[in-house]
Amino acid sequence: MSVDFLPLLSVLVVLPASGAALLTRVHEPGRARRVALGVAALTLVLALGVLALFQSGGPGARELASWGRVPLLGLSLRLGVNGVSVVSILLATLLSLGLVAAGPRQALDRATLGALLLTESATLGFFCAQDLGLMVVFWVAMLLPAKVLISRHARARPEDRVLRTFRTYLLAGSLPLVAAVVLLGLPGWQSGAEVPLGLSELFERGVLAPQQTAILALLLLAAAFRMAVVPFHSWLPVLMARGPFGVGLLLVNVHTGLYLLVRVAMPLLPEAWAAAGPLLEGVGLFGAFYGAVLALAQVDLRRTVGFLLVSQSGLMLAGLAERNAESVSGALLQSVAAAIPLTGLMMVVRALEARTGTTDMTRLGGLVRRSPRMAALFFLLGGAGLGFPGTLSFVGEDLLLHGILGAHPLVALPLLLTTAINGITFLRAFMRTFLGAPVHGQSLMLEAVEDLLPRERLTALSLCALAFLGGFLPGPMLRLREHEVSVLVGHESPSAHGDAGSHGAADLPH
Amino acid sequence: MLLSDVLVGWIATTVPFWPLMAFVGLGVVMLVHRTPGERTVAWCVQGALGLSLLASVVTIISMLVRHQDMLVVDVGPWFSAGSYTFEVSFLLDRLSVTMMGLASVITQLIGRFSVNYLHREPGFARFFLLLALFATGMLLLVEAGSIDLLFIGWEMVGLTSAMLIAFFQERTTPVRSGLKAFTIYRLCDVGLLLAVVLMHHWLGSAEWVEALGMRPWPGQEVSLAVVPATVLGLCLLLAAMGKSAQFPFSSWLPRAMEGPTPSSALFYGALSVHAGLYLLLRAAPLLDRSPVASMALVGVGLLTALHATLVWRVQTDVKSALAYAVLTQVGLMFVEVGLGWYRLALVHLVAHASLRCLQLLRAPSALREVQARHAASQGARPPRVAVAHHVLPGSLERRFYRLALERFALDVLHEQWALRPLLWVGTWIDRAERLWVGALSGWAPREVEPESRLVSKPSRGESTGAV
Repeated sequence: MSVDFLPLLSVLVVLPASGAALLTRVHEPGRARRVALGVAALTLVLALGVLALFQSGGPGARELASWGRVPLLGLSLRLGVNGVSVVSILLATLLSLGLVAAGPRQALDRATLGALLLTESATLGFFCAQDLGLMVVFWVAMLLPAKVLISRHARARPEDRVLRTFRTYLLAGSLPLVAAVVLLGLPGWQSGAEVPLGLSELFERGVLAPQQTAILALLLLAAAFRMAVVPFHSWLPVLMARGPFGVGLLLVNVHTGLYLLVRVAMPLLPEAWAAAGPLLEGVGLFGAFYGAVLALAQVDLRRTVGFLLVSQSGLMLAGLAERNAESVSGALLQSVAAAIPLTGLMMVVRALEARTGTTDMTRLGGLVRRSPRMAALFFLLGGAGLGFPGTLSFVGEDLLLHGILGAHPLVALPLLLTTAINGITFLRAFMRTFLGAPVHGQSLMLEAVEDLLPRERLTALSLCALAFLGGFLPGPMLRLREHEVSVLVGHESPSAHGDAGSHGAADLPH
Repeated sequence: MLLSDVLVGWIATTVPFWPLMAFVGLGVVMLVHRTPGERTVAWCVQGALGLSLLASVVTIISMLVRHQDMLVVDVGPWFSAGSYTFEVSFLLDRLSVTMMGLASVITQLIGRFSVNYLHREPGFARFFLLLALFATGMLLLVEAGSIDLLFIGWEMVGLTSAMLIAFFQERTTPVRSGLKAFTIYRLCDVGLLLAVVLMHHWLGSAEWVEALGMRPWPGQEVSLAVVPATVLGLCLLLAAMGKSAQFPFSSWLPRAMEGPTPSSALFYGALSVHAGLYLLLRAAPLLDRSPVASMALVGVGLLTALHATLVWRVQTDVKSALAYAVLTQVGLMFVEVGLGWYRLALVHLVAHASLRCLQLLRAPSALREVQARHAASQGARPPRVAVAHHVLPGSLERRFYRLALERFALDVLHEQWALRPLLWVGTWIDRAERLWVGALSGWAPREVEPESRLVSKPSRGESTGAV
């Protein structure tokens, strides 16, 4: 089995980066785009292959590829997948392909394409890594291409502002994680263990109770910055509004933060996590509500999408904090269910911006006349992201709702109001942008708007189709992660993690 | 001919399925390829509605023939996680079969009517697409065997309702009215969602049969303490108030008449406006357990009826007058449900839906009818219908007249007390947020303010507060 996986996972991680390296040799823009598109498509195919092998295998988590270790720090270069990360890998490859395929031509120059591919590589590495030290390396590497890109764009002053915001949050989101890893690794280094930071070794060793709280706090801080949970969210809307196109992939960030919590924080520090649960849940719910109110007050479509995402990540954090099977699988599902359509939505917004030069709703209106398909796709993608029935996010929100409210009916109000307000925000944005009469003085400009091009349409349509198909048949995706979820909520002991055992309904009675 | 239970169950399952097929097929073709011609669209949707009507007629007849009061169709689990499973099941009893028949007949008739009415309208295909989605939602809603499934139908009905109000999308007012209706729906849906979760929590199941007992409607009983029953009843009441436009939330209904006439007749004369009532009738055993919820129901219904009957007298256009007339009757039905007269309420519902649908369909020619009647009676003054308000003393009558003209200023009140504070808070936080980001990036916001306005004007607009 490991022979099958060994090259596959490593190739998966290395392929986009080598594509980026190849791009430096290609000078003609059209060819650069084609190369990037080919590489992204190939990566998706490989990810599908990983999924197929994983499904044929069965057990929950596996160490599958090992490339030796870095001697000084004791990092082991091990890659592997489990039920959660296999979905994350698919998500990252899919969204990268979508962005490369459908981004506006003028935004996709060579540098942006390279940054996109490098980010993809680092993200995939993060999801595959089985060593905490390696995860940290990828965690930082994920943001570096975007940072280089932004600093290249930051000639004018408003962009300079973006750069500084970004730098602040890059530091704030990475330093706590490094500190936490150092704390976790200390005992291992002192005792001279062979692999001080390997995930499975860490799970076996466990963490002493007095240290748990501090480490959890550091991990949470890092994840909260990455997920843009409310007190630490300011970078996301700013970047969405002002940043270059390539950072669009940062939408996956929400998922990365969630993954860090699910893969490391929850299994490694169960007692501290349980103790912090109520607090986290409160923070998450408050953040969700706060993001919803802010999104309602926005007039810029890009910022609206940004705050909607902030609101969603608050919901996910609350779901994880609740720690029952419904809420955890709801949070995991919702992170995929929101990321797919909201990326599509962001793409449509970018296409709109490329055509009209603005995303300010007060200056738009009546666009449906010239571009009915853009309007329809905007509507479907937005609806799919915010939990209208028949979509994947409906399933996610339903599970979250039952998980959280089933345990604490009292916290119902902010949660329900959040979902209600998010729906209103979206429909309001849709109606102001696409329906009604054009704003006075803008009608000439709006007359010239072109509908979505075939490649944009194809991407948006496939994201849409995924969201709706997933909503119609959510079973397979829920089953993929069933094993991990039941481990996380404590139906099985963490030591069973990584051992064989059919991941399926058979695990539940434990 | 006697059909087996399983077969009847399958036939009943297809009732909401056919319009869904039409919606998906037509929607995909429109999105991927191009909008088909009027004939194809009408044929497709009408065919689907016809099939669904046929299936519901077969179901009704076979249940009548066999004197069957109740049939539960278990389709299967949709998804599950942990101890929670979303079961797709349908419940056919006297109540839902009646509503199913009503819904499929009226939808079919309205579909036929609209083929001519909307001929050469630019949004012809869009109308039929939404009609199919509405039929799916409404039939799911009435047939649903669990409150979870009912919620799905409920949301579909709400969304199509908002989109059809905004049907004439190049004008500003219909779009604004659609958004208003959707906002109120969505806020009141909070009640329904809460009820869904609380039902799971307290009754252990969201299936109507398991939660409310196996006895045929309306004789079910529920074993639940008074306080939970009251909370559940009030949550459901909130949901029903939004959907059926009861008193504090009634301002969206007259504005909803901005949509095309057939959709007004279908939604606000016949089906959608009665969906809230259906929910209450379905949950009747819960209301039986809780005097407080029943009293609240009576109070809301009376207030609505009073408010609406005052307002319709002074309306100058026929559709607004009809909208308030609808509210009067629906308010009375709420009272009936509150008093426990469920069968009466159901009969009232069916009769009212049929009559009001007809009236709304004839509304565009109301003026000509009045003129014809006037000519026929050769100028003799017709007898006055609305005289009850004359019993009020003079000064009060004048005051009520003014209030009724302004429709009791509900719109303004909503805006002032709900929307504006929320937007104000949102804008205020937004400003704080921008300051914070500015401070983070080492920016003294005041000194560069003019420049920033120059550079980034498009994204700096303040919220105007207008929805």
